[in-house]
This record gives sequence, C-alpha cells and structure tokens, in this order.
Amino acid sequence: MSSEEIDAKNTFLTYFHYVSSFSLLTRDPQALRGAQVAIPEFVRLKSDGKVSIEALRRPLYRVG
Amino acid sequence: MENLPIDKEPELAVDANLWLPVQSYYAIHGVGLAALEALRSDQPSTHSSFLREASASLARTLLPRPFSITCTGDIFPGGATPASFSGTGATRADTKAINALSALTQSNAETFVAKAIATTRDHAFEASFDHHRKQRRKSRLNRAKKQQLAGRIPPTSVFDFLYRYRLRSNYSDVDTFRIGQTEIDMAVQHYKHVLTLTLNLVTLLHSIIERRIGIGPFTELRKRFKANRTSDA
Repeated sequence: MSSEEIDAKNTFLTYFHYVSSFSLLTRDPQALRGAQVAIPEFVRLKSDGKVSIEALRRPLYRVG
Repeated sequence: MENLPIDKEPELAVDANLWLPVQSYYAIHGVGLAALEALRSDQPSTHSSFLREASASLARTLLPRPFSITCTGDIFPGGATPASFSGTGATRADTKAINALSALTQSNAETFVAKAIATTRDHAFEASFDHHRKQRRKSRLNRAKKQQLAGRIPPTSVFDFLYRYRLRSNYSDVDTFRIGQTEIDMAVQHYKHVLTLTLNLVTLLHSIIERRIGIGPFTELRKRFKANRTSDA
C-alpha cells in the first residue's frame, strides 16, 4: 500500500470513528428524546401562536 | 433523505458515502433553519451565520448530549483563553491524549466526539488565519493578530463538524475518501452511522419546532412534506 493510500485510509478511519462516536452515544432514540425533554430551556418552550408556518415551510421544503 | 438498499448491494456504500455527508448536512441545515425560525431567532443567510446561531441557540441550550457538546477558546499555541468544552466532562488534555485511529469504545466515545469538535475548531482557526495571510499577503501572523481573529470564531458544535465533513468528503478531498474506503463492511457501517446521526439530530430539531407551534400544525407540516415528496417522485 502506498503512503497516499495509507493516508487516505487513516483519514477515512478518523471520520469513521468521529461519526461512530456519535452513534455509540445515541443508540437509544427514546433515551435521547427523554434527555431533551428534561432540559430546562426545552421545558420552557411554549407555543405562542406567533410563529409563521409559511416561514417554516421555506427551509423545511426548500422552497423559494 | 432516501435510504439506499445497502444491505442487498453493499458495494453501493463506497460511492454513497461521498454524497451522504452532503445530504446529511443539508437535511440538518433545512430543519435547523426551521427550528431557528420557530424560536424566532435571526434568520441566518449564510452557512457561517447558520453555524454560529445553531451552536448558540440549538446545541448549547436545547439539545441533549452528545449534540450539546461545544468547544470554545483558542486552539493555537499561546492563545489567551485555553480551549475548553461544555456539555461534557472531557478536557482538551483528554482529546489530545486520544489518537483518532485508536479503538473506539462506549467508554471513550464522548472523548471522540469532543475530539471531532475540537479538531473542527482547529480547522476553523487555521482557515481564518490562512484567509488573513492571503488577504494581507503575509507569510506569518503575530500572536496579537491571531488573538484578534480568534475572538471572531464562535463556539464550535456538531453542526460545524457536519459542515466540515460535508466539504471535505465531497469537495476538497473526494479522492482521499474514495481511496480510503478499503473495506466494504466498514463503508456499510459508516453509511448507517451517518444516517443514524442525521435522523437522531433531525428528530430532536423537529421536537423543538413541534414544541413551538404545537402538535397539530407540526403534523400538518409533516403530512404536506410527505405529499410533496410523493408528487415529486
């Protein structure tokens, strides 16, 4: 294997580990969701009827 | 995002892994922008302003670990404020001590996440310094100038990491990522891990939107999204 191939393999392995580390810590989506609803700032979020649904559609649907 | 039939045709994973980081980042970017809109934050118009807002208003305040982990401070020799993390007990010394190629385990996974974010911050500093050197046609920057530029770099989070990965795998270093995937099994695992990371983060961002607009309007938004996709297909 050339030094270029070894460098490439190591680069991929580095990102493989970085991404896998997130996966290892988030294997249980229910636990993740439970942790979010225990965050005080999240608990304080309320629906106040002032958010424009149209404005949400633009980034969510990627329209004009 | 569509799932490819990776289990039936595993060799698809190598090429898919060059594009998946792009799809992942833009999925998170779109839902992240909507979450910021729902929070009535300033609407970012560039990637850098999105990353700044996403770190401050989403990662640090409304997302659980490991997505809450951020890195602040100066990542260059002699910086006035040493780099540190919030959202984790990992320290800069821990992230320096661990080799990114060493074995990943459940017990060191959080240090790996912190390292992913710290190295992303390191890249942001280098990019800022390089840009300034080229702009001013200087070969070196003194410490005072570096310190001044460092003050403009916001906290670094998972959003910055995904943006860095998206640029590197599909723009600045495509060949490396193609050649570097020497084992199909590993490529398949990686594909699945990127999908898992993306889906988990999108789900948490959805929860923020749902909380701000209520279940009924959010369900309606999702229904219309699915209907749009079906009519496009």
